[in-house]
Amino acid sequence: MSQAPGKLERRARALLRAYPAEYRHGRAEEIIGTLLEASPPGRSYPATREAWSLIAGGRHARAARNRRPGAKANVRLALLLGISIYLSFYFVPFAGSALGFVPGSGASWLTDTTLAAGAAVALAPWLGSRAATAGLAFSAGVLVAYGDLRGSHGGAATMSVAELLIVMTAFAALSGGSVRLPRSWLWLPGAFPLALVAGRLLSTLRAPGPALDWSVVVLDALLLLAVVVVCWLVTDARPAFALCLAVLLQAVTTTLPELAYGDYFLIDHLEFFLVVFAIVLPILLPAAWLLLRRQKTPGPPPYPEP
Amino acid sequence: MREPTYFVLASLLRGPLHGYAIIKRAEQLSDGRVRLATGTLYTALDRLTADGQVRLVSEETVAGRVRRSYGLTESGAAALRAEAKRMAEAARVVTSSEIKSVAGLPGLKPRTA
Repeated sequence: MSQAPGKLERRARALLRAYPAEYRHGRAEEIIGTLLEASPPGRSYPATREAWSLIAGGRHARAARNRRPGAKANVRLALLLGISIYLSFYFVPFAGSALGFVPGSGASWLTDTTLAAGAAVALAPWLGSRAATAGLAFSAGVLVAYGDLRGSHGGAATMSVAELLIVMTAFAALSGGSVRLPRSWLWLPGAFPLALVAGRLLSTLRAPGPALDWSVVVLDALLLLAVVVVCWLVTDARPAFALCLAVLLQAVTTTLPELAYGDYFLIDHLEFFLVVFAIVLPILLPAAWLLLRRQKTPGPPPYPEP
Repeated sequence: MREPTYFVLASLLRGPLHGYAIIKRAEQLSDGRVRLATGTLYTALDRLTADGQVRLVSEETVAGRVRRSYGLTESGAAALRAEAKRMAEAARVVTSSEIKSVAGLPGLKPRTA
């Protein structure tokens, strides 16, 4: 009959969460056994140096796991995730239209269907099939184009159909490789909409009142995302790179039409874009360096094979 | 080669050992200077296994837990010998010469105001 775990073991197991799940599956019992043997009797907390070593060991194990697919596959995964997040930005206004938040718009079968197709496209790479991603991207593109022709999106579509086609084609071309997107990234396409909600809450707390400056909301959202990606950069450069890429794509595709038409709106928003770039570039550059640096070893396996 | 890695390899010179035994042996060999934390030990073992310097030798179950023993490979023994030789040569630079300390050399007198 097995004994119930003591306090020390329970706390050590909590620290082992720093390691990736597959590593814990192979190694947790061995590491716990060694830690318990190395700790003096009667101890209920792991020593500080033991705790730090487990956290640092977990970081090493995660970094090694992330390096294993190789630089080329990792760049493909980061680009794919970046475009997926960017598409989620693109389809956010359709949710606003569908919920009646955008003036002059209302719920319609077309807006609802476009929103559903957009969500399906953003999540399609996780299916691992290029044909499925291409098919869903084509359907969403047709719905956006049809809505544009009818003028049914109430200003929800912020990018021309031609630009959307380019992004969707790149998206479909990148999807379907042998290395699939990790399931633990599935929440990321929803990260920006969620960050916008959190940013809005932050702005309301800071300046309560009916008037709401959306630039402040977006900046708060970006700052929240920056904190998340800086924390993440410690173990994995790919989601950090992808989030920054998505924010930059969004900033560039919003600015380009204004440049083309010589709109003075750009000058008003230049400061805002400079702040966006100032937040994103210091994260994007080290993330790109980490992603592209030469990988000398493929990284150790989760635990040694006999 | 960092000191903890050196003593992990050195602890396996006499034969395969399990995790806790490696920690105790490394501490003993270094006169208590190297006290490996558990996370540090397994990070080092992962790296040395991936480099082919250490390999898993046996696996048993003790009190309901897996206990794995690790042994030195030919490559690990060669790396350890090379490191020991390098350190011995570095030590010889100092131990084989007479040391003249600056206390015995003429020097500038401190400036007084």
